[in-house]
Amino acid sequence: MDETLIITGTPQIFNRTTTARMIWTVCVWLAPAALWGVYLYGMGALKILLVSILTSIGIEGGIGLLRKESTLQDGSACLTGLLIGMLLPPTVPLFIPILAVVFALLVVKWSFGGLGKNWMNPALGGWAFVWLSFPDQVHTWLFPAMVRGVDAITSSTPLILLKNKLFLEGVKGSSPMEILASAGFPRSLMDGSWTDWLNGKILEPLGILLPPGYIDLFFGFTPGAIGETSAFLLLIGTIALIGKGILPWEVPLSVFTVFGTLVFLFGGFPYGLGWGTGDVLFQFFTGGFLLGAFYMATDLVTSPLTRWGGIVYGAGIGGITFLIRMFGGAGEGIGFAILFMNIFVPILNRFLTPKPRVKDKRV
Amino acid sequence: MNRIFRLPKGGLYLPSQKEVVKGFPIRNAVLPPIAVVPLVQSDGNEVTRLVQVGDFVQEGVLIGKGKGKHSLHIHASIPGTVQEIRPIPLPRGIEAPAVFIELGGEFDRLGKKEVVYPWRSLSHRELKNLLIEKGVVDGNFPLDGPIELLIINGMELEPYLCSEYRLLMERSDAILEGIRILQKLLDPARTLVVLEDKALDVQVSLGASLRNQQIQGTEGASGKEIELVLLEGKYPAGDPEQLVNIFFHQKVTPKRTLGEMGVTVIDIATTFAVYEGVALRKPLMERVITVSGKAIRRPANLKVRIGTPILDIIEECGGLTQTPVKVVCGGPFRGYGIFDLRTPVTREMSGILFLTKDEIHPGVRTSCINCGNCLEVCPEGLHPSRLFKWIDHGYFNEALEDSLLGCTECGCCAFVCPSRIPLVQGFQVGKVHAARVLNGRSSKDQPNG
Repeated sequence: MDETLIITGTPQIFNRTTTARMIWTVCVWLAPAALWGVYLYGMGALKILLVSILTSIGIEGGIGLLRKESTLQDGSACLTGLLIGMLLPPTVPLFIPILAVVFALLVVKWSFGGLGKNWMNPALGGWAFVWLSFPDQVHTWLFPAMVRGVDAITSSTPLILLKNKLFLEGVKGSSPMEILASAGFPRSLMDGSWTDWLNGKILEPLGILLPPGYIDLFFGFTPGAIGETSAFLLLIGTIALIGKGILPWEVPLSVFTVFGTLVFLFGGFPYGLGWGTGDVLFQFFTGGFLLGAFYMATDLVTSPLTRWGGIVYGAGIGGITFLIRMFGGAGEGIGFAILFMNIFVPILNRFLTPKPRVKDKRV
Repeated sequence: MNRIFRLPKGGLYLPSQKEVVKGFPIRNAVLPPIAVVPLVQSDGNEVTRLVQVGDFVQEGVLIGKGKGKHSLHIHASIPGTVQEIRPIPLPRGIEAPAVFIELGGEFDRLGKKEVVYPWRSLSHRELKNLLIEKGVVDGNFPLDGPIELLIINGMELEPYLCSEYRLLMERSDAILEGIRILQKLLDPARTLVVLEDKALDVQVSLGASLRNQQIQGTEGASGKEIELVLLEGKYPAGDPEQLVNIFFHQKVTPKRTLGEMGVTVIDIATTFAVYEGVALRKPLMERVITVSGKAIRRPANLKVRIGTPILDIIEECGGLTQTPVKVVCGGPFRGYGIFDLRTPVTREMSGILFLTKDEIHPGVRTSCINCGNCLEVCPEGLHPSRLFKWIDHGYFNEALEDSLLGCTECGCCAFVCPSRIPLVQGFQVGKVHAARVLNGRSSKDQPNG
């Protein structure tokens, strides 16, 4: 029996959490939103998800063979593949997820030395690579089949439609939802009945009125990337993960506070409306904001080490997302905001670290 | 007594794991057939051996004479014949000679009624000699007053361990008496007994004894006050460095030690040993340990003789229910894993833990993912992940600049590290190398120059 006893340095016991356990848990809680995307957009979405996950596992496995040290079990490759699949529209040709994964793993992650050494979020890096390289293919979206009651048809996302209406056609004086409605953006039957029920039972006594359209956004009955549209499932996953202490809460809180405040104050201007009329809820539920704020901005490797660092980093993401959505040509904004803030992480780590209690540097 | 003090920075609320064994009173363990008494304690010098193979020793007879720091007098913990003298591995990973005593002959103390000797009339020198003679402290231990502050450390924050808790519950009178003796020796301006805020039963037990003594007017010639203070139970709030920071508002640094500040921190087990040594004239040859962990059948708080092999303690506690993956001597944070179950109980051992895999959550070391957990829990405000990277790549000067020497090796960072990076080991190695760097440097040019 003596040979079986483990001898290590102090401490002798550890916290339950390990890196692999954390990453696999995130994968598990992300999966429902991805599967919901398959339900919404059909088998094409499933193919894209599978191709990107399998490519990712294949590449990581291959690198493992070359390095003679497998890193597949830490789950990071699986998570990167899953996230890339979820970031892509359901109509992209299959070479696009493959290219995105190759770029993410080989260039973004392994050229810096693997998990923990990269400065840029691999999934977002891969996504940005194909987004910039193949604009036509990654800008075709699908309406979920059940909204129209017929076959899925291609469409643009709510945010892109709004950009076109505002900047190209010069529509003014109405809220985002009204513009979408007048543009003939379809709504599901569920949206109408649920909105009525909510207004009648809960909101009206409180003096609030929810306009139609938000229920569709909340449950994902809208065009968008495979995994980004279901606010509902993403929120459930986030609550579970923050509750387990796997995702930090400071970063998303800071992203939401800054972005929400800016949208509320200034978000009305492009629509020809005044101060404090911005549609915060609409902005939260569109353009992959939840997926970005909860699952990409919180990536431990590429976010700052300390709580205050995370708050500054999140505030930067919120601010830049707002600027891109207000003035930029790209509709979503949060992806590039995160990539941009990744650059500042080393400097945040340098300045926002705790001060040693004992200042003596020498004996 | 109302204010609850707190650890200013970092720390961890640990799962206590004490419930299984907390309620069991201290019981005397059966004497071992063979006691293995090591001739080295902690990091001290080897003592001068006074016995030969074949000698018959009485219980409590001096068998080794201490010399220098951390080298205490050593007494035979059981009566019997010296069977052999050979080196054995000790928990800390060192080898040291030990005296093997085979049980036999008459018992001096066992079964006899305890006699309490009066000590209040003894002089300072007599008290001091008594403590050294009974093997409670070494000759170099600062026992001369007056000092600013005496802290009696009742914070037993490491998971599993309850030996000091049991002592406080069952022998609070003796511990208060021990504190009086220390007060007489050290003549402190203030005496604090630090207790955990949640440990209400201990506060009540000690508080009641204290009040009783005050009513009976037996608090001693010095009449010095004993203050009970509460500290939040967040590991490592019980470390001397943290206690001094919290209650003395001064920082312990490698340059400025406790002794220079005029602060002495003494734990409950030592206070009890002081009482036994002075009031009962009993040499330190037994101690209270907690035997716990999921792999032991009957966890217990035992009073065992120094030198009892761990195998005998397993037997005493009903054997093992399953094969432990780790046997730890001491607490799970500061203790040492052992590989040989014949290792004896030493006097610094506060517990023996038989831990299973689902208690220690072992893992394979993977790369750092910059999660920042270690920064959050470090009570010294260090940057453990960066420090480890400096040391890992051989940048010892940079590690020193980054306050490597501020690390107290409490183990919080390594406990929370999801990548299972051996941070504490890294810092221990780093300190050794850094010392070399410093020495090499100071001989040539000035540091910081």
